[in-house]
This record gives sequence, C-alpha cells and structure tokens, in this order.
Amino acid sequence: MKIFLPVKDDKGIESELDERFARASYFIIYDLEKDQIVKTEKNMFKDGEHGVGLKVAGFAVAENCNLSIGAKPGPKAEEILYHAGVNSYIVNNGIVSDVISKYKKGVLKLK
Amino acid sequence: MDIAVVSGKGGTGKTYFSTSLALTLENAGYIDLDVEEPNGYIFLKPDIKENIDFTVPIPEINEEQCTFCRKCDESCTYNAISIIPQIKKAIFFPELCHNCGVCTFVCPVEGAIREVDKKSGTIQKGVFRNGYFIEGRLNIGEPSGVPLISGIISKHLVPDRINIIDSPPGTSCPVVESIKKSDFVIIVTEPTPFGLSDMKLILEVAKDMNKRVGVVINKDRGNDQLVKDYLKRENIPILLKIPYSVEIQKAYSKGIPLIETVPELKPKFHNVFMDIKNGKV
Repeated sequence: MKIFLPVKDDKGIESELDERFARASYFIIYDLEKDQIVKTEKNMFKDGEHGVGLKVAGFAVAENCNLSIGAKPGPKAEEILYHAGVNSYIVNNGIVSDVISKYKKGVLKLK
Repeated sequence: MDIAVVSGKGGTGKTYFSTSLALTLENAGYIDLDVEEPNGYIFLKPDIKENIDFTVPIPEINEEQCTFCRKCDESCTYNAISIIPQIKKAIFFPELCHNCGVCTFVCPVEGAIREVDKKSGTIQKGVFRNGYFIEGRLNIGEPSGVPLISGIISKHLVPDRINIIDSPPGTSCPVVESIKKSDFVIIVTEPTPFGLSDMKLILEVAKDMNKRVGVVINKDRGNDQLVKDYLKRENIPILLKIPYSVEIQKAYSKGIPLIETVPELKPKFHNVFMDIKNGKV
C-alpha cells in the first residue's frame, strides 16, 4: 500500500504538507508495508500553465499509489484519481510522520 | 478596409464609438468580435438573417482501439489528454483543448482517435439601417474566443467593404487575433489613470504588430490632461473627443447610438474615417 503526499520541502518524514495538491514543491511516496518513504520527487509539473493537476494525478497513478493524503486535488486531478481508484484524504497541514501515524490510527477522514 | 476598435481597459466605449462610426458610413460592416459579451446589437438593432453554428474539432478517443502508448498525452501542449496505461483509461478534458489536432496526428493506431466537431459558438449575420451586421457569440465555458474570431475574419467579412471590427477588451490573444488583419487600429480610452495605463499596454501591442493607430477619448471633460499629454509626447493622433455629459449617458443607457443623441458629431465621425482612409493619421 503506497501513499502519495504532496509536500512543501524535502525533509523526509519531517516534510510539511503543501496547501496545494498539483503545485506542491515535492511529492513523497510512503510505503506502509515497509513503513518508510520509498520515493521523493521534485514536482516537475509545477510551473505548467494548465492541466497540472491531471499530470500530477497521472504520476501518482503511475507510481501505483493507492491513497493520497494532503491538499485537496482539483476537479480534473480528482477525476483521474477516481478512475484509478485512488482515494484522497484531505489534510491541509502537518508533517508526514504525523499524518501517517494519524492514518494508521484511523483518525483521518476521507474527503 | 478593416478598422479595429480596441481599448485595453474595458468599458471605455468601444461599442458605443464603433456603432456610431458604422452608422455614419454607407454600406459598412459592423463586426462584433467581443465574442464573450457582444452587445453592439443593442445600438444597431439589426435584422438577423442567418444563425450559423460555429464548431471546433476535438478528439474522440476510442478506448477499445487505444493502446495507451501515451503519444497523444505527451504531445499535447495544453495537457488536455490524460492516458493512464495502469488502468487502461484515456481521459479528455475539452476545456483545456485548443483544437490543434496534434493528438490525431501523432496517434499510431488506426481508429483510436478521430476528430469530431463541437459547437463552441454562434455567428449571427444580418443588416442594420445602412450596413451589414455580424456578431460572434462564444458559448459559456469555452476556453478561448480565438478560433471564433479568426473564423469570422477569414470567412465572413465582405471583401472590398469597410469593416468596423469591435474588438474584445484587454491585450490578450483574442484582441491580437481581432486586429491581426486590420489596416488601422482605433484605441478608445477614457481620461483616467486606468484608461491611460491600459491604453499604454494596447499601444505596445499595436506597435509590435506594426499597426497604424489613433486614439478616441471618451467621457472627455476638457480639463483632463493626463491622456492628452501622454499622446502629445508620444506623437499619437487624437481622432475624436466624445464629451462627458449626463444627456449622453442617459441616452446610452437606453441603447440610443451616440450620433443620434448628438447629431453634430456625425461630420466628426466622417472626418475620422476620411483621415484614416486618406492616410492623414
């Protein structure tokens, strides 16, 4: 089970969630089974003019993420995530380690 | 001869001026290319003879045939197509599509993408008192007025006539498209800091496009030097000053054309045209 997290900085589990889904600075992919970050990627779509969200959603799907935790995806990104069966937990702030532990405790709410 | 009427700033009186210019001339065309909110008809009260659907080509993807190779996705500058091989899904976002056709062009699979027509607006054609009328009206939610504007200019203008093109406000692509083929650009401004600021922007656009320009000052109170001083410094001709008056504003709010409210302005409108035609400005 892989979790996709749009974050502001590249500080591992201390990274802070970004307020924006598509235009976050970095993406972190967290593997729940391994209980660690398996990938940190700089957002190469960030400065695109249009349709950035769907590129980012496409990236999350291509990386076989099953879940997104963080800022709310825009409508186009959401459409792609929906078709790919990727659920999103909307969390507007916090650091990666905190939200992962909250997710494990089952206190995060869907949407 | 095509004369485009622009402003930079919105609400300075493009339509108010251009409808009266069209009413002054014999057998001229009034072409409303402010396609997001065309309103010249309010002043000209045309008799509409034709309603034409305007369409643009958009791709239709057949997921049965598609191999999800992502060539179209990667080629699309506007990110209008998302191909997700993992779930065998092709998702098209029409609001991002600029109708360029590159997806259909690069697709290696026969029958996976075909272009279909999508209605994006309406062209109305008709006549008004002493000329002919064309209006482009973009459907709500369409991403760009450019295809409709260029479609009207290339296919619907009567050649060898005087066409007064009522352009959209601003300085972006639709404005550029509407003045591209014009012989002269009239800038309608108002004597305020906002009018001046946006006039400077549209002057830059016109200069880059090597257009002849002249300025009409609307709502002129006589004592406001801001715009006039600038034009004098830059050596740009003032074609006409439309006075600010409550009478004019009242008539305007009822949809009465300027030259009917102030008939004395008619010869001045005529001179504006003659000066442009004879290359005096």
